[in-house]
Amino acid sequence: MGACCNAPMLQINDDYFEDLTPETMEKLLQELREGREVKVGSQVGRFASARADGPHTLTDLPDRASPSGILLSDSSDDEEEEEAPTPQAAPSKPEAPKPEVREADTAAGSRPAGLAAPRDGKADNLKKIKGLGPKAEEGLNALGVFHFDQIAAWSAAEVDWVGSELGFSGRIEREDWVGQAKALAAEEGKSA
Amino acid sequence: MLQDKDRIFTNLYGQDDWGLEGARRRGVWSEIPTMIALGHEKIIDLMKQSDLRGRGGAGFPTGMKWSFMWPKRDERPRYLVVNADESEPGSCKDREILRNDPHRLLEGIVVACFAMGANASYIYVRGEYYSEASNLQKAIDQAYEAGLLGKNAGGGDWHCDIYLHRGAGAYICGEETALLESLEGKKGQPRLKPPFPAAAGLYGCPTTINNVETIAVVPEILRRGISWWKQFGRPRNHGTKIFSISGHVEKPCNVEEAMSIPLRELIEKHAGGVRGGWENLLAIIPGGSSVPCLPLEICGEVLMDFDGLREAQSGLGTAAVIVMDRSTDIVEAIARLSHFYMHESCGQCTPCREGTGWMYRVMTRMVRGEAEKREIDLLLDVTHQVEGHTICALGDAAAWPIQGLIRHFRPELERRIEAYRARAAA
Repeated sequence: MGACCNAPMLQINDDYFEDLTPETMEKLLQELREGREVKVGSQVGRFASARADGPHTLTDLPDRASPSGILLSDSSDDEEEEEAPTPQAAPSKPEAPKPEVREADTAAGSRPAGLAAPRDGKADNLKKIKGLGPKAEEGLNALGVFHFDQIAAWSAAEVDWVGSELGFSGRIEREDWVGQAKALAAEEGKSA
Repeated sequence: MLQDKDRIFTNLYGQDDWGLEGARRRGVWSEIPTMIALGHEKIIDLMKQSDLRGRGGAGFPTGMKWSFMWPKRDERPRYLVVNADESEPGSCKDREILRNDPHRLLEGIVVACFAMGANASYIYVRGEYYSEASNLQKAIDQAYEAGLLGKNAGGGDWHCDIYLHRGAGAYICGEETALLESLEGKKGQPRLKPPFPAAAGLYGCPTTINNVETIAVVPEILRRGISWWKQFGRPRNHGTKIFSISGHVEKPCNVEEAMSIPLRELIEKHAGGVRGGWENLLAIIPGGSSVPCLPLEICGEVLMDFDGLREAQSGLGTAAVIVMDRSTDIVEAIARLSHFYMHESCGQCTPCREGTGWMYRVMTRMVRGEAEKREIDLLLDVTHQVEGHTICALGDAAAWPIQGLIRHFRPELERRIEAYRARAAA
């Protein structure tokens, strides 16, 4: 039945019941007979076909936000070099971020205005934006970006600039940080 | 051990969102336009260089399979069919992809369709996989909504439509040409080849049939590069693979590992070892029910890849490792498999239709020992008469487990015959 790692199992109508024992099997049938709600899937609470004592792999996943980088920066690989002439391929390595400087940068796009320090000394938890990890948050803070409303106000050119500055071109648009930030900023405003 | 950063199926256990949002977070659907910009030949060429071999059992090189489809020889439409009719006893890997990471399959389909010049793809899902098919259909709907399918699929310059089809529960419909028959609405009986599907497949048009896992790994190979992929496994067996470990192990599980991992290491690292210790092992079926079993001595040595297991006179199949400890009645276990193949034979070819039933009946007698010793050789002879004399590989699949049993456990068969005789005489 395609649930060999979760044997013994059975299928009742459309649902799989996995990791059964004689006792849980009897309990299950009893509950069905009485028309009660039953627990579908693993009866011992496993994650799909992970080990019964919890997944032993996939516990240390890197911040997989930027596969973009992997293919394009893999220049040691001859095969992939042909991919280079894409727009993201050559982000002119921007100089180290200088948080206090506010003038527009010459790199692709324009630099959004930053703050020297978070307002009221308290930054928003930018990691609430899906796709934005701790590393990206650090980078944004270094650029003087501490609040959702700052991200929400970015223009397309500013998105480009931040993307190439932090080394993940295209990701901000793809994951719609600006849209997410708008929603989060609105929420923040409500709760404040 | 393969590191988590090198695993492709990062949501194998379904801890994360399987939908579009979660998939995007895991890097799925990124850079499809870049891949499509490579062009048909380039992608096929890269697949050839990657040495990716089909994950559905036969291990045919994927790049070569695709190269039969492109360049176009005529103006007929061409199709990609994804075989998600995972019915091989022991394997349970595609199900995890379908329900926990369906978008990875979908992006793979877009890239594969482009490489072969196909504008439509059919996914044939096993009938029993109800909630898996439902997740997959939801994922397809999400992708259409986000503009990732249909016109300009994945954001690239290619039209790709995906249709989901649910099977009705026949094992034989996992055979590629029977699958096509079933998809066309006919009885699932394998077709005589040639013509091969690449010449005349679905509705008489050029068609390629690939396994779910094969298609799902393609974009990630292109994204990370051939050199990344080729660092795993031995030559001609490169890459990573989902292994399904079931049976008499402490902690059965699915796990993605590098190819060519030693079988013993796979079981001890990932499945918590054999129940009662390694020495308690009786036999292992290393690739799903249709490949011959291996006894303890070989299991300690063998490497889990296509060539390593072929040398051991078995096969990688779908990498479904079925572990049996000393409490197992190995003859009965194989007899049970014979019953399965008898039941699932489509009846089209005489050697298989008659042979599977005959083999099962002899096997049931062997379980009790109610046989002559010369019948062991007769049985072996019949398996060789079935093997290779049928349209599809089901005949082979029925013959191999018995051949493996006789090869490695003939003394056990003889012991039973003697014991039965002694009981009868008494």
